[in-house]
Amino acid sequence: MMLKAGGARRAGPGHSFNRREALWGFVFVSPILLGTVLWFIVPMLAAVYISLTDWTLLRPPTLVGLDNFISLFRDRLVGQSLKVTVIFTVAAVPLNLLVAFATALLLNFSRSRTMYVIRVLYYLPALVPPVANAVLWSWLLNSEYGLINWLLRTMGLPKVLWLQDPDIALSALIVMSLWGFGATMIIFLAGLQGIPPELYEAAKIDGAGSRHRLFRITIPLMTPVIFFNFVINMIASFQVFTAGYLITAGGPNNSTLFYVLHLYRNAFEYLKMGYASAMAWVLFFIILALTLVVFRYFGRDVYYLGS
Amino acid sequence: MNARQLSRRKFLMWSGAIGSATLLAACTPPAAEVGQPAAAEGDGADAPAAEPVTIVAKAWPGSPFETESILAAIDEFGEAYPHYTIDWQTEPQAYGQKVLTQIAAGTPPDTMYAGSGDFFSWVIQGVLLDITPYVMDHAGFSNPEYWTHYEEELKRCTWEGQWYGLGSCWVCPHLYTNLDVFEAAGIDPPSNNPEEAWTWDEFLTVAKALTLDSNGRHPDDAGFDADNIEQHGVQWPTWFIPLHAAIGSNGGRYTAPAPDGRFQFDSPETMQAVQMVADLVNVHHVAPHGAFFSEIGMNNLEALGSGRLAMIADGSWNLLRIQPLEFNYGTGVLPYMQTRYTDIQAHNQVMAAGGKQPDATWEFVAFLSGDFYQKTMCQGGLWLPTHTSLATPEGVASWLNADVHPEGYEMIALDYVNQYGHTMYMGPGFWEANGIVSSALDTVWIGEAQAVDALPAAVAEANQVIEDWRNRS
Repeated sequence: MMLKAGGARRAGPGHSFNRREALWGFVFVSPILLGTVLWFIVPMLAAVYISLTDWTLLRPPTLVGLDNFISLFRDRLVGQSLKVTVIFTVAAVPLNLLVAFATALLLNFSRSRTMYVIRVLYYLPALVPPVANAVLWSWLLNSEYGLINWLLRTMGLPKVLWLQDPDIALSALIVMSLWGFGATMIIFLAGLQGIPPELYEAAKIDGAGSRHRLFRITIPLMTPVIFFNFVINMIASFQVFTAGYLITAGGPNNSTLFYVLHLYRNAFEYLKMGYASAMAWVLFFIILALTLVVFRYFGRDVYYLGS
Repeated sequence: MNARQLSRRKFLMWSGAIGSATLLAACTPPAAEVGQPAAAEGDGADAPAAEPVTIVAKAWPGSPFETESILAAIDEFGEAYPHYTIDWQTEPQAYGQKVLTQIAAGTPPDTMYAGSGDFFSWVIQGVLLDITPYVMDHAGFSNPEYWTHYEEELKRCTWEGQWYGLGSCWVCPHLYTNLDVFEAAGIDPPSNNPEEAWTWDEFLTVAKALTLDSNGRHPDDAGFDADNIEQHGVQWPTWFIPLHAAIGSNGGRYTAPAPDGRFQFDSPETMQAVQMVADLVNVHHVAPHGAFFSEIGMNNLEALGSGRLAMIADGSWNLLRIQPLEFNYGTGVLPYMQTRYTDIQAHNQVMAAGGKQPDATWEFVAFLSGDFYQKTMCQGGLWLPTHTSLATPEGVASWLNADVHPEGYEMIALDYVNQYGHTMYMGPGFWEANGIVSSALDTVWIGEAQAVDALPAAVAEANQVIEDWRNRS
């Protein structure tokens, strides 16, 4: 069917088509719209109400005002879990970005067949399910039979209690988090391949070396991608759960008790739904505030080509 | 034609309305209120014998043996009650949470397992049906002589004098041994007779003699290399069941008896017992660090079978898992510090307070709590008997299985359990409080802190949690 531009605005058959098209448009977006309302907006609003109650699931909730929020300040483990989460974020996010960016730069050197294979290999760990990753790393880090301690022993070094020593366990999980840098790397790679080659050619003609090209062309033009990856990684890092839940169960001595793990336990192990909802809202505002701060102070340093 | 536009506002309004209605419909519980028995549906609330009955039973999944056993039990039940259909549902993950969610939604199962750590919380929160009238009407269950250990049976099944569940069986921690390792070292294995239990010092001497580094040295030998131990003498897991057994044997308590429930890890006896277990690893080097078997996907039973361990202190239910490993294993009672003691517990078979057909459900619960099912589970090595009928010579012969149970095992199953077995009260807030104490113990298990330094503050914090729960209950 041929359509004339602007024809849909006229009354008559075109008008009817416009209505029909709008209807179908709404029909097609309705699943995601309904999903958002039912599974995000409604639960979030419900969580506001629940956070003001004492609710164990088994008895009707009783209103307790702001008691749950006040209790957060008295809960030593909330402080501990926030500390663990912040340390994890501060260490793991930059490390992840650095490794992913460096690897993307290396993989961007050539577009040979070998490089495609290497690219897939680097990306593969990001496809491994988190649970399988957790099991794999708990074997590698095992104090008695783990590969890492075996390597240390062959070098004459003492064994390390990677997952049992409270001073070390979080570092082990930070190193482990690097395993999944492939997803960030792919986004960097896409960004690198979007930089116009003529910029590099012009710089080369002007005598710029590779270091200059990196700092004067690549990094400035990559700032939107770096910024995007930073924000996404930061948000994900504040919500980290799997490693602490599966490998260390928050231990030893709460040294890997991430905020979301503590929240989960309060909700589903201790049945403190009101308290857990308060924790969830506090986390939401922490992430929102940090994201706004990041946009406010780092967003202006982002350079958009053509802007 | 005056065509009407479907505005975004209207569309969103209708979407929201339909969505909310759907949500409300999905979340609205059926008529029965949580915590209350369902109203009788006229005279037909409990179906007459001839009418079809479907019982929904909830359990955590077990081994293939358990699945076969429950299917056999359901078949046996079906012989007497052909009009019954048993819908046996299992939850592999987060069992307690899922059951409670079902109950909160107003669709409770008719009957289910209640783990010993959840039972009293569920009773106090009104989740479970008071089954005292059924128990009292039952010729067997109401008779103290029916039970091998009636005093402990009352402790684990009743609250304020009322019955809320029937104990499925007993289980207890005891020693498992690799007899080939003992034979190679020329050492007599531990006895199944509680009167011949080792003292802790005797146990430690044996554990040292069975611990070897890569040069064949023992822990007390000069030049012993604690970083390269080829064979550990023992493993004493530190989760609540084996730990409770150790604490009890030193005259200490894990928690105060019902209805108190506060943690008592700050008593001198308890702290000393904890320290003695930790010292097995960090001072005497006869036991490996905590969770390393599970971390490598090799469980402690496999390590025992492979000769990396000479002994382990673990639950009696593991007889079921150890037998297929086909090595020369033995059993023995636990060593003791001050007094012979072991932990006994097991899940209770309970009925939900909101169940719609309690009378019909009771028939099935009573059957499951009878001899047939218990005997089957004992034969496989998973359970220990609680019925006096299974403790007589004929009764023992009906379940003692030479393919599974080492010689003399009936002394553990009966004498040890009934004379030295003690339940532990785990009331509301137990898991949260236990998490606090366990976290503090992490540093003790790796030798970074002494029990006397790590525990008092943690116990105070844990008991505040218990106190908060008591105030909520």
